[in-house]
Amino acid sequence: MTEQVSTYIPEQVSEVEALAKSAFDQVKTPEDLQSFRIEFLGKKGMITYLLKGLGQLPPEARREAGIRINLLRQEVEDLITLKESSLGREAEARRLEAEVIDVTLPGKGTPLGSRHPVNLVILEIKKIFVSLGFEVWEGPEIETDYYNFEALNIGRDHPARDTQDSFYITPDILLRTHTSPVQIRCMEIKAPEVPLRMVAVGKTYRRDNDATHSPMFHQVEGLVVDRGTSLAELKGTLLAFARRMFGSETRIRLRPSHFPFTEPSAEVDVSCPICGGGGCGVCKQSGWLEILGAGMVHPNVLRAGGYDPEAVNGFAFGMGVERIAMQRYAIDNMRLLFENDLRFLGQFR
Amino acid sequence: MLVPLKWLKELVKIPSGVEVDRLREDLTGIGLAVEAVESSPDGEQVLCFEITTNRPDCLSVLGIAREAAALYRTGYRRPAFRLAEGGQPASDLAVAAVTDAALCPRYGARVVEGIRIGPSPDWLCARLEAAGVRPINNVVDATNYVMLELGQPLHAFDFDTLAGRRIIVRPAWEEETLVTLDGVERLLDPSILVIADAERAVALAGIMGGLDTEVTASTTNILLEAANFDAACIRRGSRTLALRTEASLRFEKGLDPEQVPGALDRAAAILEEIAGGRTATGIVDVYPDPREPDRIDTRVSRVNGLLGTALAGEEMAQLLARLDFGVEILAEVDGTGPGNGGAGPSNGADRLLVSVPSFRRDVTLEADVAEEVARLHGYDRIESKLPSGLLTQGGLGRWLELEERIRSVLEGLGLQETLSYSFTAPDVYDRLEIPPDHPLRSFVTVANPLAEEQRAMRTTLLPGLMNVIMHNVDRRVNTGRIFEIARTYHLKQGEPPQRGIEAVSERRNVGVACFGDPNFFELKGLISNLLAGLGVEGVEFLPARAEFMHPGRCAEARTGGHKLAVLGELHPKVLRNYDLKVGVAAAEVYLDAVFPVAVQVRRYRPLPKFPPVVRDLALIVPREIPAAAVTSAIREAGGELVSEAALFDVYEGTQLPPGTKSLAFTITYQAPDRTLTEAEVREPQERILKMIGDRFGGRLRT
Ligand SMILES: [Zn+2]
Repeated sequence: MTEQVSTYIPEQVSEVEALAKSAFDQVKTPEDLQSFRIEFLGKKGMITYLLKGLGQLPPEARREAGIRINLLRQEVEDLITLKESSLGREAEARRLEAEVIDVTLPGKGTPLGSRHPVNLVILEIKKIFVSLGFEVWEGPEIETDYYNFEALNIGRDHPARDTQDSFYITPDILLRTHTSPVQIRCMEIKAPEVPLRMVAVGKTYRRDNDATHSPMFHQVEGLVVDRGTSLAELKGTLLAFARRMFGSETRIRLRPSHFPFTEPSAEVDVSCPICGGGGCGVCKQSGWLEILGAGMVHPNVLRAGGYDPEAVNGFAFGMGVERIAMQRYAIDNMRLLFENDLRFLGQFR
Repeated sequence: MLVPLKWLKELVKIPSGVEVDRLREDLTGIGLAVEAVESSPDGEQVLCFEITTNRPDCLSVLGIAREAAALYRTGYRRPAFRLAEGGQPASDLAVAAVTDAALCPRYGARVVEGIRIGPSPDWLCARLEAAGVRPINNVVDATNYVMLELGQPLHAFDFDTLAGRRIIVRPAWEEETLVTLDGVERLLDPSILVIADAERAVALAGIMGGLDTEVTASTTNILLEAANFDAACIRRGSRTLALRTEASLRFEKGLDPEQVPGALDRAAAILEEIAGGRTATGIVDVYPDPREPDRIDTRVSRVNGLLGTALAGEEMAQLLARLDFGVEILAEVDGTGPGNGGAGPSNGADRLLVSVPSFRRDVTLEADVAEEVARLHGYDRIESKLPSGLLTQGGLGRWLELEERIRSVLEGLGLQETLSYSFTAPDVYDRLEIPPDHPLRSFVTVANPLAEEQRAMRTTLLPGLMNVIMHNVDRRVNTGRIFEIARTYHLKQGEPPQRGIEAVSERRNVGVACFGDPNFFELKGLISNLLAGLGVEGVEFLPARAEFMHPGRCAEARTGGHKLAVLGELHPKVLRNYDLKVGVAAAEVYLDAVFPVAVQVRRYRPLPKFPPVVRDLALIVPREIPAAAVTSAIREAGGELVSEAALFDVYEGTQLPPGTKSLAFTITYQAPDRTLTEAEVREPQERILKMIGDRFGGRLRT
């Protein structure tokens, strides 16, 4: 191109504009876009050429032409940017499509473990009583006759010893047949402090082995000692427990019974959480589940614990954990709880 | 106990409209649990009761009738009968003596002559069968009938077989023997009470008669016995002889001596009716010390306090009267009365003087009276209220919190919790190859296990885990990771169990096992994660030995000198002893050691403000040097600036001199107050290389 004094020719700009537009329509790939950029905005590009020409224009024409050409440049740059991102998205979309995986293949990492159903139930029971202000206590599983029987008002020849056929270590030492000895140990430490609210949880042992009995099983037992506590408060406490454990519609029923360590004593039934009391297979059509034994602590037991039965009352209750677990998870044979088949345990993740 | 409904209705009026379901519910509601309603062979309804041990008076139709009468306020009646006694007084025919009235407070007998032994009439057989008793002959059936009806066991002797026509109630002699009705010869001792004639024991008192004096087809004259025995004595005898009968089950709970004459009369009348007997006049009755009824001074306020009720004294008196208690209402004496343990209101009468009927010897305390009031008033009519006392804090306690934390950590690590018996077979210690005199052999022995494999209290959780693995592998579950939190039981060594409970200790452990194709490092990862999850710091794993572990793949986890756990791959000989085809890696974590070093609340350590300098270092050391020793040498030599020394590669092979290995570490240098310079890092790096050289003969791998 020869040096010459250019004059501003609006038609030239329009021509470049038209060229750019039709060239842009042909852009299909990132390579096309690159050529397009060079053709119009490159060092020797058409728009660059127009801009270079500006300097040779007379000042009065330069201003108008400058505005016009810069607008064109801006327009082309915007087109390029737009195209760039749309071409990028398309390319990415194609890549992602190629990266498809089979999401139905299994996930990685260690599968979750599981807790034993008996301990799941124990944890639930503990949490409820803790929230009601009870401390959780433990005690030895190998006990003396004194703590397991004598202090609980079960003398040597008491018929209740029959129903609690025991595993003996020596004539005076045995595997505890219930968690009640922990009550005595707790009272010995706490007396004469009131109120005392405790639950004892743990393994217990009796010489029984069939579909509904295991020689080792778990009990939760509770004790409250306070001035002026009563059978009415025992009912209230057990109702609160039962509603948390089995649902807010749960009702309880107390039936007079007999335990050597309580007087008055009661068997406590809970309305069947499966049928709501109408009768079903789980509750053997009765509408009730026998869950707890309870009563007002016998004066001899309070005395053995170091409390004055004239000054305070106590109430106590106890329940078998396996029974609740079997009912809760619809387990029909107690042996399943102690066989530890991993296919069974894995159902409690 | 089985009670035919028709029989019950002979003794008590059940209000019309009370059908059997309602009756069942009502009786259960006052403490006589009706477990089922069955049908007798001839289609009669039979109530099946589960009677609590304190109520032997309810082991009879009459006892149930009394309770039903109290419940429905209808009254009960004793069975109606006519006794045509006559002729010679019984006391001329037979003599009875009791050597210890404490063991036999009352002995009563009647003589019935001219009996014709034969089957009982149909009505009697049907009734016995409905009550679950097999008819035998008219005499035995009559005694059984009266026992079921009135609750008093009776025994009929063939009177002509009693030497000297004498009865002596006495303790058995040393080594005295007696063949009982069941044909078994029993060796007796003085703890057992017998009924004897002039020469020998003829019956086990309150338990079972003897064969020699049994009523047979040729019997014509009988001595009918009804007695009262000390409950504990009968109970001990029955236990010693391992012989329990319908009679002993009643006597061992304590019966009413006052019911003796009525039962004798009733039985004699039946025998007159069905066996053609003639009853001699009167009863031979040895009853030196009739007991006065117990009287219980009962505070109305105290009863209300125990129950949480507001019953008036008169209401309580009425309830008790329905149960045949005599009640005298005493006027208020001294205002408040002694501490009532509760603010029960006292309306009118403050005290009741309660006389206990002779058949209710179980009622001895104010609390017993409260139960009588409560059960007849209705347990369901006592309101439910939450404890009104001071608030208490409640809580699990640190031990149980620790156990819950362990469960969460191990559950998250993919382990399944198991629960196995605390007892095991004594021979598992052989199977585990535990040598004689090893502390794990100091187990507590159960004297009367249900089975030999439950004789030994476990000293390690390993046997339980092994049983779980065996059980699962048998069912083709060939891999798994399991844990159990439980106690182990130990005899303090050198102390005989006779030392008492002090010789026994209980410890808490966590057992962990991986089975299938596990290796040591999988297990070690679990145990280090567990200890980290419990906040235990400074844990080192050191090579260790245990008889049941692979000698080269066993370690102890320690911190500050405490042994926290033993872990390793099980020895192949143990696997062979168990006939196990899969591998097992197992650990036992000693919670008593972990507990003091577990951290409940963590403290934050400030994050570094300045960038670290990171250097990789590959070291060649002799093969037998443990990596942990090299790591601690790096820390020791590197000093404070070394914030981490992480092993990332172990290499043994042809590119190294024989007998050596290469350990590659990433060492992070960090200062809390500045960015470290190259020069500052060079110095500790050199110290490290020197220490590796000096201590292990190692060098930099180039
Ligand atoms: Zn149901």
